[in-house]
Amino acid sequence: MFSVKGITCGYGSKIVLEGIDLSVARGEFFGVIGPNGSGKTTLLRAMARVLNLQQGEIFLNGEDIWRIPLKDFARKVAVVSQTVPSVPMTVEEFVLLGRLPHYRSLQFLETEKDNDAAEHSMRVTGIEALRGRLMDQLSGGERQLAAIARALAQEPEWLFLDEPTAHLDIAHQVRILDFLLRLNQSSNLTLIMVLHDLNLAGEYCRKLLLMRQGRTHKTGSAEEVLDRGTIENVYGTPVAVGKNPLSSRPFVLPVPAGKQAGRERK
Amino acid sequence: MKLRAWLIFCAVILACSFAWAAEKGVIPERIVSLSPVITEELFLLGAGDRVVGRTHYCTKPREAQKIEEVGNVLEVSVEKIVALRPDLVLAGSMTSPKAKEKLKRLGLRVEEFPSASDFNGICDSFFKLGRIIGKEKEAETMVKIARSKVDALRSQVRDGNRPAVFLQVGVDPLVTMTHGSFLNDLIEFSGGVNVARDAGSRIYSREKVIADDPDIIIISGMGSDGEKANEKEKKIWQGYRNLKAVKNSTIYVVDSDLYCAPTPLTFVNALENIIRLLHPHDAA
Amino acid sequence: MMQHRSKRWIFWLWLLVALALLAAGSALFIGPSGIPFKKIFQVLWNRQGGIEDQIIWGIRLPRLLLGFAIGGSLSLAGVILQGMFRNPLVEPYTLGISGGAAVGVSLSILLGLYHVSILTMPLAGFLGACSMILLLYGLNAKKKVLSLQGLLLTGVMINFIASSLIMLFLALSRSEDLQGIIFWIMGSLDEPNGFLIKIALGASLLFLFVTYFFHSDLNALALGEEEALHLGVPVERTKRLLFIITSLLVGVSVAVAGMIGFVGLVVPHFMRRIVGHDHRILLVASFLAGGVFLVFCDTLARTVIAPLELPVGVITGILGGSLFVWVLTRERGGKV
Repeated sequence: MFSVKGITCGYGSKIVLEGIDLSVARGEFFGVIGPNGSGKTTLLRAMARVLNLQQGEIFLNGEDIWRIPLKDFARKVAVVSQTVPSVPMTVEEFVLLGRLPHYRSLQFLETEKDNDAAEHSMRVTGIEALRGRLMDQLSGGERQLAAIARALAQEPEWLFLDEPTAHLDIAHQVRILDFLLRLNQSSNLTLIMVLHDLNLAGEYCRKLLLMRQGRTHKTGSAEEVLDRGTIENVYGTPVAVGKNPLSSRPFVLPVPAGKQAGRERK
Repeated sequence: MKLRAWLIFCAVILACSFAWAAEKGVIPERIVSLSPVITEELFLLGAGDRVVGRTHYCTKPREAQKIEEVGNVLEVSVEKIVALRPDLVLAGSMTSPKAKEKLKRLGLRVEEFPSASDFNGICDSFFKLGRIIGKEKEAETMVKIARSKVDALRSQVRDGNRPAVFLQVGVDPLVTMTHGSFLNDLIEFSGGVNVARDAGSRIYSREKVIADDPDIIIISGMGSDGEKANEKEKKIWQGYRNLKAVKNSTIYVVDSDLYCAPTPLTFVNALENIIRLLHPHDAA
Repeated sequence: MMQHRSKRWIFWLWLLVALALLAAGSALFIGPSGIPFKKIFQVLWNRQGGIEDQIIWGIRLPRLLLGFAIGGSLSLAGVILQGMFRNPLVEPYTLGISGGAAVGVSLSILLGLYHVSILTMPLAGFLGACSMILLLYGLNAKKKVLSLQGLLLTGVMINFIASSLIMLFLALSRSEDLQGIIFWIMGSLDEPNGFLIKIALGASLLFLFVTYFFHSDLNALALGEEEALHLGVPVERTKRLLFIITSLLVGVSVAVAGMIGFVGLVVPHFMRRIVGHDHRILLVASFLAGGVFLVFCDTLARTVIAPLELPVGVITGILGGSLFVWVLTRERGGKV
């Protein structure tokens, strides 16, 4: 159980998040959505023990995350950032870095277990064939997959993802999210994902948090949160909300200016 | 019986003192000189044949040029010096301290000769050198001759006029000599007054020289392009029409070798030279 | 794949050790006094006393050892810095520590402290370097966070200030001191004091050992500070410690041998291309390669215009710089 209690934090004198309360249970597929600048990434960073808190506390299984030794924390929580570093190292080397939290104190070479974990995560994300390629020569999508593979090699209980599908085409988006959903259902891997795309959020996340201007606006199931009034209120733009005929999940469509017939105009 | 014992006793004492003297006053047979002045002085003292190593700039006298080179005045090859198996290394004021230290640590005898600050210093240095290489008498004689010549020259100009002199030893930057140098003695012995005598630093400003307006300007630049640079400098001075030295045409370029680091004898030559410049109307 | 990698690493290590022996050989066998090879072997085998013994054991060998120590130290410092800053153009002198050492040494020469003891000059250099370290750290560590950007900028500025200060000292000094300062700045490996050579050698090996504790941290830092945090690397503590290690490496090197540039820039850069980015091999490979490079340059410096010696920094600069430019242009041409 990840509990965020009344946190306030920001960068220097600029406060981004104010009084955030939140809990995520084990096994959840949790999505964080909201307009630009609402503090989604900041929240993720705070929970990933990267950003200092000015007020409030965050608990993982009852322990203050800032009291947990950094390495122990990294064994439980893996993070896939928005931008994957483009470094001149091979995919295999990159993925193996994910095993660092599991290294014993004077360990020098990778153990068999390390190699196996890396193998497994590369296979599962389908990038085995890319293992010898250099990271800075991959496409954006391939790099994203490598980042996910690295995070999986960490064998975490909690996986944080910041816009994991940002640079991917629709096929890849679905493929990755399907895969993450499977992972979530089969291995109890808890996912906390920041998403821009409301539809993907609606389709895959069981629980959503809608943020607005540094505060939590609404938490609940996809149907509860992706409600037309709420979305129009928070995003400030007219939308149409419907149900996906095949999955019964909500979807949100933008309404261009000319097509807003039958609605109150400002 | 007693006589024989006595003789043996004397012989033993004598042998011991010879041994002691030999140890104390070992006469160096293989000398490496790291300073052009010292090389010149070694030849003056008649020990030129004992010199086995010199710097690239030890070119006087001509015979010295046949000797093996071990480096230049600032940097020398310690290995080369050691390979020459010297029993004495003579270091000058410019010799790298690291090289001196290294040579000492390798067990070689190193004698240091800091630059002389006046004529007495030049003589003392020369004397010290003579003592070290076992040519004390020769050194003493030459110093005596030099001193008497210098005294004679000094008395010649004692009651003459005392022109203000600016002696320039560096062209770019402008460098002169203050009272801590034998060149100051050169000026004063010749009856002149060194305008830079009490200056704080040897780097002088041209403005100050103009303000001092000396009677005589002597250019003795010791750079590598010597002659040309000195002549150029003279032309620059001549551009300042209001200077006394320009109006009286008393700007002189001299042979810098003569004025550089002299032996007692070359000091005398330099003194004669400068007296002639300062007092052209007096019969020498 | 990973077994191949270990095999590759071992191959590189053996190659570098072989090169090191070659460099050592060249340093011991080549010199202005022209000792025949057979004689050199004899002298190395048993010490017999005599001129050749003195030259080989007393002059060439200490110089060789110092060359390995300094070359290794500077390259190691270069690897660490390039890894921390993720910038292949950073070298040990960029941080301004060498500037501090140079100011310390020039000041000690100017004040005539040299005559107190032969150790005052390197000590002054080291103290100068340490003051600079403290200054850099103080200016750039706010609230426990060490700003790498800040370090770089401050370091460059400090170097400028230091150069100007040194010009000032040069203008104020007497001619004997002048050449002392200039020759120290030009860097040289002919340190007469055996104690200092031992310190340099000991420090370089010690710091190599210590740095190996950070091999995984350095590998992680290649991804960026935040990513490294995600992987459980205590980034702030690591930066601090690595900064101290680098500074000490540079401080000792500069204090004992003066400024020898390019080694810390060129060697790590090349080794990165040749053995890869993994610090597990890169650290020791750069260390060895740095030693080889410097010893080799020093042998050249001693023989090119014998009996005169060029300052070794001239050779490292010309050789290192040209190699650097050549490789860069070749790469640029290939990429289009």
